[in-house]
Amino acid sequence: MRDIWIYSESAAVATQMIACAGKISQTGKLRVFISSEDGTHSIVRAGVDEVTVFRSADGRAESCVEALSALAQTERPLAILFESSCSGKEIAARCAAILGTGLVTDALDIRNNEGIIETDRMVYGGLAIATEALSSPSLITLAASLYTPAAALGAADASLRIQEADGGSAINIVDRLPIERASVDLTKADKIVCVGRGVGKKDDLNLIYEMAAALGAEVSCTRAINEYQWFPPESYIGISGFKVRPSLYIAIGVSGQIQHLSGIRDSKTVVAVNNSESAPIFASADYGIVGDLYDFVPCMITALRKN
Amino acid sequence: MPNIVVCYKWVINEQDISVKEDTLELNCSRAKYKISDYDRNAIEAAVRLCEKYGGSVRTVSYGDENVKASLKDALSRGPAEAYWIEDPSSITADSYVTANVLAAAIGKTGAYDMVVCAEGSSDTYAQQTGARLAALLNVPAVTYAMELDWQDGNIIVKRKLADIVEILQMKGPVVISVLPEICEPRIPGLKQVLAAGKKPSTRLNVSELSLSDEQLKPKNRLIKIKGAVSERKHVLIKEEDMAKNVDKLLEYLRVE
Amino acid sequence: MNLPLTEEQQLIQRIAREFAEKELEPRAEEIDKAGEFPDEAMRMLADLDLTGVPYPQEYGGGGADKISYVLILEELARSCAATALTLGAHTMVAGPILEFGTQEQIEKYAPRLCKLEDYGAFALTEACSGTDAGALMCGAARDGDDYIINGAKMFITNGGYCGICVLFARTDPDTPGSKGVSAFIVDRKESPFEAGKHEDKMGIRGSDTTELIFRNCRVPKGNLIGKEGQGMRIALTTLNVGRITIAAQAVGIAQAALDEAVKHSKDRRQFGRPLAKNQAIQWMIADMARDIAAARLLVLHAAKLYDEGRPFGVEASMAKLFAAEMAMTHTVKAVQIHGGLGYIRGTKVERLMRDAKFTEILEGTSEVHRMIISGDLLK
Repeated sequence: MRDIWIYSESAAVATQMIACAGKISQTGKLRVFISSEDGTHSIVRAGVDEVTVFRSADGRAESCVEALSALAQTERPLAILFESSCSGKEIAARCAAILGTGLVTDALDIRNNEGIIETDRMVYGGLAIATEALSSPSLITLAASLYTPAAALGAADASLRIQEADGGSAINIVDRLPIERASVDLTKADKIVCVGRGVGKKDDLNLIYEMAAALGAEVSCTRAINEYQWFPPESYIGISGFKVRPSLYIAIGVSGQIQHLSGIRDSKTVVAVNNSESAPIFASADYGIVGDLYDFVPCMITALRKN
Repeated sequence: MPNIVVCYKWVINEQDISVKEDTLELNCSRAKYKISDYDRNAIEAAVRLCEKYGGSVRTVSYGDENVKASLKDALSRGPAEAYWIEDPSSITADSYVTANVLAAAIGKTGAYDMVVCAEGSSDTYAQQTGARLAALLNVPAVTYAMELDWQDGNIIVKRKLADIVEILQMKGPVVISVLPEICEPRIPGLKQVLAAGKKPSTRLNVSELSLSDEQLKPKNRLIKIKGAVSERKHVLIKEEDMAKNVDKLLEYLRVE
Repeated sequence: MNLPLTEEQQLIQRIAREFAEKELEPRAEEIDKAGEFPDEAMRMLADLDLTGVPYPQEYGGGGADKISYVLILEELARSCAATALTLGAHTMVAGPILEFGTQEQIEKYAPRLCKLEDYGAFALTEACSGTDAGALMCGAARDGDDYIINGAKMFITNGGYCGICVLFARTDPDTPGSKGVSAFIVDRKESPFEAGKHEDKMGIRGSDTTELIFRNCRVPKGNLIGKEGQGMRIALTTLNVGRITIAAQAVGIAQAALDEAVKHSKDRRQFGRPLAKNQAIQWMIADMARDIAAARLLVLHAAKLYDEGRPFGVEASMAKLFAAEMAMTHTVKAVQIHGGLGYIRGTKVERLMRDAKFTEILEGTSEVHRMIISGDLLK
């Protein structure tokens, strides 16, 4: 079988993964598996062959692992592309173990090289890129940068079926709480100002917030600053924190250690301000100013207000 | 009284790696080893749980001839005993092989309520091992754990997803992979460091683990690894004073 | 540098570095500026069993070898010399008690020092007696079951904060010089004394340096260490070990200076290129690295001899002499590499240069060590 499968929790994300599936498909069908019944009307007309919706009693996406891997065991697709959400990654890893096959997490690029699927991904905290060839079936979770806007509607309807998925009763859901965010979702922010060790005191943040407000930007920090708890616990940017894709990212007093840089790679424009010219951040910035951030920030506020 | 197995990885310190400018080859010759950053959080989380509720922590690690040097480090952080598997297969091992080896090794170390590991290692951050282990050991998996608690044999986990926090309860055995925010790892005191050498450590051989040749061969074949090139503009703005720097910057940004 | 260290020693070194970076580095500048005693850092060190490193665990010590101890001191000094000296001077005090004291004295005082229930001070120097320690005048007159101490000590590290001091006083006024001196444990709660003038120092400004004033201070005879007249021998034995620790601190300070110099040489551009491209700078950096490596090996060698129970005095002097002088030379060079910036308060190398100087003076001036080393060869 040379089918390509897509798994995501929602139809909306699934449509964003279609172009990527197209990159590696040759012959064979494109089948979509999702864990939610919302929005199926759009995915069935997005140019795919089959849509299967997993319905689970406990409402957890992870409940589909047994059903999905059993299907993959018999159907042996060429590749399964997974959404890189937390649940997507867990589902992918558990399926990979059950199928006895490899899995590449957060692939930055995927290619079909004469039937062998190849991937690129970041390693060593963003310092290097590893290129791997996968065995079949090739399981891959896709990095956010590979998602494209939803495809145009209008293709012929794909077949749609619902499948019951039983996750077993070992895990009881005691509660589900929304995450209290003091600020906007950073992963969706268009402009971000990030604060690093160069900012010495919590009081200095007042100026930073003023500048961010003038820019229309959200404020975040590096993992180092996160330790001081000036920001809500989830709002640091870096390899184990958020990966963001703003159109403008301004790093203030950030040295640019590897772990941080991997969180900002997908930013359209990166501006860095640091008083040390050899700070690694400059090598990853489009525009850099070597100087004192305590000079820069007030000057920016004045200039932005003038315009 | 929870019985906990923690898996950790002995990795090279990525801060010590340099990239050759011309060929983009990685130079790891000066790199020192460390316990993967987030594994320290995992060890700490397990140790704190046992300090509170009794029970004990044992560690399992799979690596090459360097991994033996990690034992005192791991043991100084609170676990009662350490197991290690030293085998050249670890050098090319992917998550598939690693999980196969660890699952078989864990089976040899006795009964457990929880296997705890970090969400990902600081070198490759593949974020697979925990979930894979659960599937191989045929126990439930809880990933992205931000809080962990024990109540008379019930394991309570707070799991952090993008928009929600799940509060889950289950009975062991279970595999839990934790986020670094689960707790701050301790700096071991001198007495703990010196006592570490006296704690038991056991080497397990791959041959004892009843794995097939297939299970020790990686499914992901590394073709190449190169320093990441960032294709940024690298424009350094150097006007006479900060006000002019800012003006120039805003000019550039208007165009973008 | 690949040093001949055991796994355990490497682990201890890593942990000391982690602690120094996390807890000492952020506050070192502030401590220097305010001349603030690093009590908070010392409490954290106590929690990590690091305030009695080379002493037996049964008395609250760390039970580690001398090599581990000097590795720790180097890493701490690299971030904050004031904290390192405070720790070193404090740790030194339990030494003479454990080596020359009675079991009763050991059990009463060693744990209090090792666990940092009390700060310790080593009270030898006086206004009239520095290098010429034997000329000290502080007197200890026998009165019934006690000694009555009268006199003043100068430049005593931890003097203002100490709860226990090891004091050297003249018990025999008729015997001038070293032979008339005895050593005492003075428990400040039982035998109160005053801390006098607090010195405002050039460097290591967070370290507490004061006069100690004894006015009819009554010390029970049970607090005499060893026998009357053995005081100077006890002092010199302790100082012998102490000089390895000062040498380690000098290496730490120099290493910090090298780190700053390397960073700055790559950062700073003049004439369109980094300073690091200039041979003059390259040679300065090379000399720094060479001397630090050599000093470190001398320190480790002396510590190793100590751990093996072999004579180590001359080697300790060599280590201290070399490490202190090279730390001074190279911190000055590091300031030079920084140019004008290096002269400004707040730049790290400015503090390092001021800090380095003490290592040439404390625990035997360089001149004393030259005397010791040549004396050994020419006797």
